Amino acid sequence: MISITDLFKSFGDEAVLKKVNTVFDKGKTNLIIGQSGSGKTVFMKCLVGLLEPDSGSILYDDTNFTALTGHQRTDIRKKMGMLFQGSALFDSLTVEENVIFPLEMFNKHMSRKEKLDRANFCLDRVNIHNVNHLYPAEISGGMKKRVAIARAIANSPDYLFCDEPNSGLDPQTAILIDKLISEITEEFQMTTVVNTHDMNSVMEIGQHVVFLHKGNLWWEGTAEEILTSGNKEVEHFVYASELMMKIKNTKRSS
Amino acid sequence: MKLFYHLGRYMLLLVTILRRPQNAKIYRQKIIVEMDNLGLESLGIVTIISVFMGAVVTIQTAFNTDHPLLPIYAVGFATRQSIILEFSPTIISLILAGKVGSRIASEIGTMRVTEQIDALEVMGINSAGYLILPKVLASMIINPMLVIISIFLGVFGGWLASAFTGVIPLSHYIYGILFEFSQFDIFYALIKTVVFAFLITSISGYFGFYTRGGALEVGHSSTKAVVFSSIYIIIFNLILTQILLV
Repeated sequence: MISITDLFKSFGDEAVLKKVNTVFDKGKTNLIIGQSGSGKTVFMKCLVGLLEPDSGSILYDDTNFTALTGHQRTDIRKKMGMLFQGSALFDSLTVEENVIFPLEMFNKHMSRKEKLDRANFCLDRVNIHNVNHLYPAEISGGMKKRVAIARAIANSPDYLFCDEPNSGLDPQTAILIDKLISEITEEFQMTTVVNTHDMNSVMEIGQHVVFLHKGNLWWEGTAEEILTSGNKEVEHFVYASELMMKIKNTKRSS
Repeated sequence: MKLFYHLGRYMLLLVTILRRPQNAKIYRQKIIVEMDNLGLESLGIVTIISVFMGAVVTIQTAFNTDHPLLPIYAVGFATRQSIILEFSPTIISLILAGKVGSRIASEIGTMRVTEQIDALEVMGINSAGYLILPKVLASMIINPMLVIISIFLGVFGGWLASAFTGVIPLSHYIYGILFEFSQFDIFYALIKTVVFAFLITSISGYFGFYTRGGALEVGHSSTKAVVFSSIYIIIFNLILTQILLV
């Protein structure tokens, strides 16, 4: 579980996150949504410690992450896995080496065979086969995302963060990635936080949805509830596409 | 004021780099890989430049010291001293600043703009230490070896010039390169090389690590890395010469 209290972050005079409060539950897929510039990326970067909030606290279960110094955060970070927007696979390492990398760094007592078995299990779990010895530049965008998920779960993390996992993917692959994130969240009982502005993802996997607007937590609820939120800004966002408008009209007529 | 900002940030980066590695075995393996990438891959250019520069120094010295009061073997002596004291440690380091410095800055800069460094940070890895320390140590080990090779090849280049152009008799050249040889000169050259290796890799690592933006900024970082490494090599060359030789 991740508890966020009064999280505030500004750049100069511009406040990007204005006292955000929420709780991300274990075993759930938690989505952060909002328009571009609403503060989603800054929020996620604060959660994983890539940015320092000005005030407020982030609790990982019982540990106050914001109160720890860089070095002290290592233990919590070992429990984190992250899928970056551009996958962020290490170019100089093969697919297999990328997945083994976190195991090599922190599991000194694991044998080489155990690490290989774990890497292959993770690659198998994300349906990646026969590309173990290829480099990231030699595989497709969808495969890169799946390898990045395999790397993120290699160390059996308690918390999984996904920054725009569907960006740059075709609709079919995007749905596959969404489903994969949802499945592994339930399977490994992780606290998953997904940063997205894709309404398909919201409807597909959003168990808990947080809507950010101009740095404020504007609305939160489930994917079903978002369709009938009654909130002007949320409706503007949700029904921006014609498809979603059709869904809305169908719901009304039925 | 910007100078102090960069100096302060560079010092803080050095402190971060020198923190205890999370997995010493991986760092050791990376040092070996970097010795190959940064050192052995530079052997070709070091060989070519050293042989030709040695030959040119010999021919120029021979033409410019053609005086009855100067012994002929002075050409060999001057060639050896020029190569050991200045050419091999300083000029080779400047060339490596261009080759190795741009490579380090662009490699780390690209990792920064493609979020690979963020990925390391989120995993709980000291990204600066993991990426820069093996390069610094590898260069500090392999560059002195390159400079020793460069010294031999430079002197050999002078021998080739003497043998094939006949600017001075070979026996005089050989007498000159052996004349009043001081081991301290080699020690001085190696100290300079180690300091220059540290400057090249840490400054280039600094510019790569703090790259912000995209491909264009990676190019800028790479250029800055070469320019500033070269400037600091020249400055420290003067300081070390003053300290060690005077």
